[in-house]
Amino acid sequence: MEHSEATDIRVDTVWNLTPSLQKKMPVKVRRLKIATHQPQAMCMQIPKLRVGMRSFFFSEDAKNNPFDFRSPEEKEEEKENARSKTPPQRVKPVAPKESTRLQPPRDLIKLEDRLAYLLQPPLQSLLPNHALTFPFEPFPHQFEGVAFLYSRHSAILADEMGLGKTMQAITAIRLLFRTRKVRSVLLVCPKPLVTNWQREFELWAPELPVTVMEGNRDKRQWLWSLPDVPVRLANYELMLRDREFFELPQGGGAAPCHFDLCVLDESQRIKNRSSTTSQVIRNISRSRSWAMTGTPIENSTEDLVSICEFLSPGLLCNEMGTSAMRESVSDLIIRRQKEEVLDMPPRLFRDAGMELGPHQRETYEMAEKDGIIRLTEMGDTATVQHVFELVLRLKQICNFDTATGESPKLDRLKADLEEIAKSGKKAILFSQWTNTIFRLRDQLQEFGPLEYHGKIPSKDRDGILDQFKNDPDKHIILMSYGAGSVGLNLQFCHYVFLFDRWWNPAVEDQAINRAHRIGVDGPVFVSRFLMAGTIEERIDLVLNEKRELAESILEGTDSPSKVGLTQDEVFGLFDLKKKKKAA
Amino acid sequence: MNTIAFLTNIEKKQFGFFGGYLVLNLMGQPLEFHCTTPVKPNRAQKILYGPTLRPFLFSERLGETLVRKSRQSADVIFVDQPEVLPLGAHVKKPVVLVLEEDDPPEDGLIIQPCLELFLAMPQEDEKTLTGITLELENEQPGVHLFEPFDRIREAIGEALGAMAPRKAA
Repeated sequence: MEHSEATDIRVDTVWNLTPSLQKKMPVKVRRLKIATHQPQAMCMQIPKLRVGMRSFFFSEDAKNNPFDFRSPEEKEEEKENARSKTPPQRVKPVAPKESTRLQPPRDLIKLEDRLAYLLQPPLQSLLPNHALTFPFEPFPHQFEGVAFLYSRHSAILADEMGLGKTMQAITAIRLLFRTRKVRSVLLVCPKPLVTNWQREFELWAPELPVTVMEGNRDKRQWLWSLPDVPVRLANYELMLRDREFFELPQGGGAAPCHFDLCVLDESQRIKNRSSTTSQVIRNISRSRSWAMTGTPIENSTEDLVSICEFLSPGLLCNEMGTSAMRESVSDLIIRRQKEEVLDMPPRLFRDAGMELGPHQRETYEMAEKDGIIRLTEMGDTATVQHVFELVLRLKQICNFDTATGESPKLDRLKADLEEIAKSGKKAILFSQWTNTIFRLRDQLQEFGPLEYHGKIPSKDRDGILDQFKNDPDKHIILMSYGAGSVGLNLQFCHYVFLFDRWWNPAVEDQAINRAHRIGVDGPVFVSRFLMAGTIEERIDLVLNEKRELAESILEGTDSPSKVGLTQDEVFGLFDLKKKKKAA
Repeated sequence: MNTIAFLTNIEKKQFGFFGGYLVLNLMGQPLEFHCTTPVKPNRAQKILYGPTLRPFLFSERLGETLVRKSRQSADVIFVDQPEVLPLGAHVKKPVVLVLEEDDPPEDGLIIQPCLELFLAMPQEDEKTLTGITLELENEQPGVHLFEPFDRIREAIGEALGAMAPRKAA
């Protein structure tokens, strides 16, 4: 709307202005109303952020705390400290990067129980703070192994040899005792390793008394019947003899002797499910079962199936594929290799392929031809043993020509040894036969050969090893696979020769690992002698397939192309077909 | 000093924010663990809270709820996120930021070295921080002050895993 009004404007008269300027000037003012929009307010509700909660409480009281690692002495000391107001001595904690914590097993269902594991302090802080000291600082992978075993009722510790499986098992047992999860442990191992286990217990768990099951029947019966024996140590053979003292009765009911934990060392001893040893071991009355082996699959997946029958019956069956098997055992098995966990020098393989010498070739071809003719003539009556006989004969010819003694392998070995001796290094040689070892001993005199095999009396063996280690003129030790593959530490050697090949890659690995273990200060060169176009080459193919098989289940690689050394494959070494199973 | 507590928050894109609170004795053994269900701010909240969203969530919503639920009264609460420091004003307890380096993540903090790490609090709490540092150096707790945060994160992950199948069902 428009509005106007007249307003007088007065202009002061200024004496020097012209009259025309003194006239009144009419001014009009117009007032305009501006149309405005009314502002509108919008209210926005901010929803309250609701927070839900879950709470978990853990008891400090020893009775209700399954992770109370305090010893009775420690508890007394704590009380005393509280009375005298003395601050407790605590070990400097480790940074998170270097720490290993307990992990719950997959079969533990309740969240409360799983969190109780996850929320415990790292083992590196936990153990020394509870006077669980070690003679020397364990490696991180060893803490990891201890954490794995401690939390599992069934477990396979399948670390490669030389990674300290014994220490891991003993420490886990020690923790189980501390937390009152076990009161009686039975450890079964091969007979030659009993004293080694005793020693290791003294070293790693000096507070745990160990009772070796030995002596005559009456004494053993008494030992089995003793209550409150923390650790019993028995060998496999003894377990067969004493089965009545601990086996679960066939008709049901309680066994005369129950163990909170049964540990099998070198558990490949039960790889044959139908063997008496397997059956007896499976029948031990126990709450927890652990198996220790560097080679859970030696020949075929059946080995692992049999070990799992002891640990968790029904978990695996022979019909399972490798991927299903791998998935099933993934939470049951822990396996580390030296290259993964230790900053170790490498193993360098040098497959030394050689041609047979002319005389040797003649002898070999004749023996093979005769053997095959004989096997063919035998037809269905030919057994695997017959084929093996031929294989062994051919392998021996590959080492030395029976007629002339010709041996390209020996020539190659001598050439290599000259270099090794010049550099002051030492070598280990493995062969399947003592006869081969004897021939080599005679031929290698300039290198100061020593022998270590089944024909060397036990009492002389330690002396031989000492001499080999300390005598600078002894450059080579000649070993048989059987005697020299387990329980020896020869990490001062940098060269390993496999003069002939064993049937099983796991045994070869064990042999190589005598030199390639913690403490070795340089690469270990492994020479595998192989005669081209012979049975050795064919066996090598099978060995590689076996190695692939073990890797496919244990390391999670691709499926193997074939499985194990079957009867057909043994016959297949000579292109023979097994028509029906030998009687 | 008898009990110490650790509080951290994690963000999972799919679910939102989780808080975890762990009370330990001086040997590092767990006494209590509390964790929240996920909290997911909507778009409006994100816009309106702006840069104050995380401090608000971590301190007033998640942090305060967790601490108030606890039965044990911890002598000090360690945190690894500066956004949780305002919690101290809400729960009337010293809330201390643990740092690996002598490098304050924001202004207005005072830093002191302690047990081979660094502890930080708002400048006005300097005296409190000095007292805590001295007490910790004297007590030498059997726990590395950064390590329990890993436990909390792992435990939240485990709780989340336990919830997932139920959700699916």
